[in-house]
Amino acid sequence: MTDWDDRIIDSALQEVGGQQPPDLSARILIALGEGAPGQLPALPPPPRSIAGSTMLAAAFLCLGLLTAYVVSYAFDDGSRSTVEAERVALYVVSGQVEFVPADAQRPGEVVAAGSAVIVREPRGARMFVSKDSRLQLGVFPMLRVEPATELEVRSMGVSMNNGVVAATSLAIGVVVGAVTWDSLSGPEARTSGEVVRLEAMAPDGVDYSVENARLMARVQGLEEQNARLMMMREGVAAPAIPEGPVLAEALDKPDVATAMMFEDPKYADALSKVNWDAMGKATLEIQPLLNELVRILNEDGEISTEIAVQLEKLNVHLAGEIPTLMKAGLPGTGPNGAYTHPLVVANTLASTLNAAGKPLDAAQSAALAGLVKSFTAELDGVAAGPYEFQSETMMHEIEAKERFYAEMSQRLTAEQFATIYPKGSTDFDGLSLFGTGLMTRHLLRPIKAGNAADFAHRAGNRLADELGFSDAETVRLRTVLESVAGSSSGMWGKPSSAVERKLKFLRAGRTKAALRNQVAMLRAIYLQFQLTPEQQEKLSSLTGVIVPL
Amino acid sequence: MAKVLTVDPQDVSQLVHRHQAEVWRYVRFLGANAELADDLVQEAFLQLLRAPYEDQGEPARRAWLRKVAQNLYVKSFRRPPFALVDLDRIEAVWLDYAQGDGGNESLAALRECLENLDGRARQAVRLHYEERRSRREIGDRLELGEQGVKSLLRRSRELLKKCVERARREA
Repeated sequence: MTDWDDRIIDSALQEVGGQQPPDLSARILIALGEGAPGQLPALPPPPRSIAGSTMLAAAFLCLGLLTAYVVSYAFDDGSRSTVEAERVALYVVSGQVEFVPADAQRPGEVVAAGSAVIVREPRGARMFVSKDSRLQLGVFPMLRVEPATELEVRSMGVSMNNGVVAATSLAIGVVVGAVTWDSLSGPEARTSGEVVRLEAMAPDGVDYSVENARLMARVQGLEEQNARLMMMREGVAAPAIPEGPVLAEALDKPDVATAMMFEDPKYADALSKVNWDAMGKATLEIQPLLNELVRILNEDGEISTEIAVQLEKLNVHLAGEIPTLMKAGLPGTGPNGAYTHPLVVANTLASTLNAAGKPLDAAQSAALAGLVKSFTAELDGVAAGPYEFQSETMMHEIEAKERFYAEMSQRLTAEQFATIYPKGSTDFDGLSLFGTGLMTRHLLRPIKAGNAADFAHRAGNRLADELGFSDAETVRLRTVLESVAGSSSGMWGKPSSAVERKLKFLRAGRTKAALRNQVAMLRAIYLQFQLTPEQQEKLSSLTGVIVPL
Repeated sequence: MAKVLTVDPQDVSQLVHRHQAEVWRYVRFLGANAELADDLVQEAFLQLLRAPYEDQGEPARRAWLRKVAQNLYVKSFRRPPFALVDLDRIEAVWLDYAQGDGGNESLAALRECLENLDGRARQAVRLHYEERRSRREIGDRLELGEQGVKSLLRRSRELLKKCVERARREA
């Protein structure tokens, strides 16, 4: 093998390891708009300067980007095109993050929900997350982090052209655990050993509303505290601190607390803060777009960027309510576990049908209220159930929720049903906003395998990595997995479609089959291997679903 | 007569989407780091869209973009980063790898091959390319010297290259 043969595989392996080609189209379009058509761009002066033509575009971009982190401006000759960011803000939206700086001399810190720290020299910094958390670094997209996850900042590059910021990128290694986030093409996920690569949002796309609201709430809180202290000092009785989060008041939500039709005293307070009207309107618009996205992908083999962008904009309305739903304490696996809880589903259904002008009648509402009550009780039981594996709990949760969706559908008129489940929306798991596929899509870990032996080999390698098995144990593990996978029904049949491979919308029923197989595999491992307590704990907490595609 | 390739913004976006991954992979293969690769790809596209250029179809356009990016890369050094007599060899290796799709098929095949890689080779590749561990760290983990790790990684890449070639022949 020649040196160049070696280099081609080396660069390809780096791409597989996370250094993937970025989408430069927006950057090129902006740069193109700054130059006169037909004019030959000046080549960069030697030795190392590129892209003088992008300076104005870069200056435009830097206005937004510089607000988040500070970079070194020690440019002697403009020759360096990239620098590492010196610091970045880490904001914990929910949950809790233990942050350990790369520099061992500096102390670590536990960052609680709603607070932020400045991470100096982010490269090499580690973050430990023990429970479901959401965090944001600088202006990069928000990450949802699963429990027992360890992250490491691999690099945070700030590309500079002639001293101004042109673009930024962040690479975070998932040492252990799993991370999900929303990108233009839909939800993304990375698990142990994989690398999250993010591009900074352009200034036009920066959503400062959450940060503004947080700061407004903070200011309001401090002003109130100040007033109370002054009154106490002057011997005047201090007024009671208003109840409830001021954050919600600071957000621009004029329709808050509208039209909550189905209630449960246990969750009523928190759920009354959800903007159900907005949820219904967004749901009504999103579903046809999802169907269209899949139709185009089936026909052209391409994901429509235009529809993906529209979906992302609409999804903000739904995703914006997730923290409130999570805060309500509804049982369920992950954020979409709360979203697919019968209480939330029934209210979303009612508001969606209202938005469509086909509201539920009194009899339907009464029937649904009964269903919500009984399935809520059942799901409480599932959440408290004596299951060995988190995957098993999830499987039972999905089965109960699927029965709820089926019962709910039977109460709808044909017209209402067509609105909620437009034709094609039930062909794939996760495509319908009224289905359990929403819960599992970001947990899918696809591998290419056409039969049980292939599957066992690759799944075995992954699970062996997770559990820290020796080579000998890995070989034995494959035999065990092949036996389990070979007897699983619904796993082997039609080859996977583009929709399954590119969007992770699996053919209806395939997710459940894969989940059943996953639970069977975990149980077989538990029974047939001598596991250490740490390995048992790891096995029990695995939520990723390995699925052959 | 050569003319400026005039395309509207939406088509520019499509044009970039169509070719950017290949050009980026190509300059990474030449040795550019990720950030420099971004700059080189941007500049190559700007030249394509601004300079007099007679479009002769997709294969010619891909070759043109690679050539421009290659020139920009070479010129970003005081001395060429590799012997210029190697250029034919470089192009041949690239074309063999990228085939007609900019390297997508080969990359998919490589992912498959990685799933089948076992033992220490698998561990070394994972530690080096996914966890970005140094040779010393990998050596400590696998009880090998740094030179041993280097050899193991090279042998692993050789195995993977053969596997990718076999997979593409069978496809």
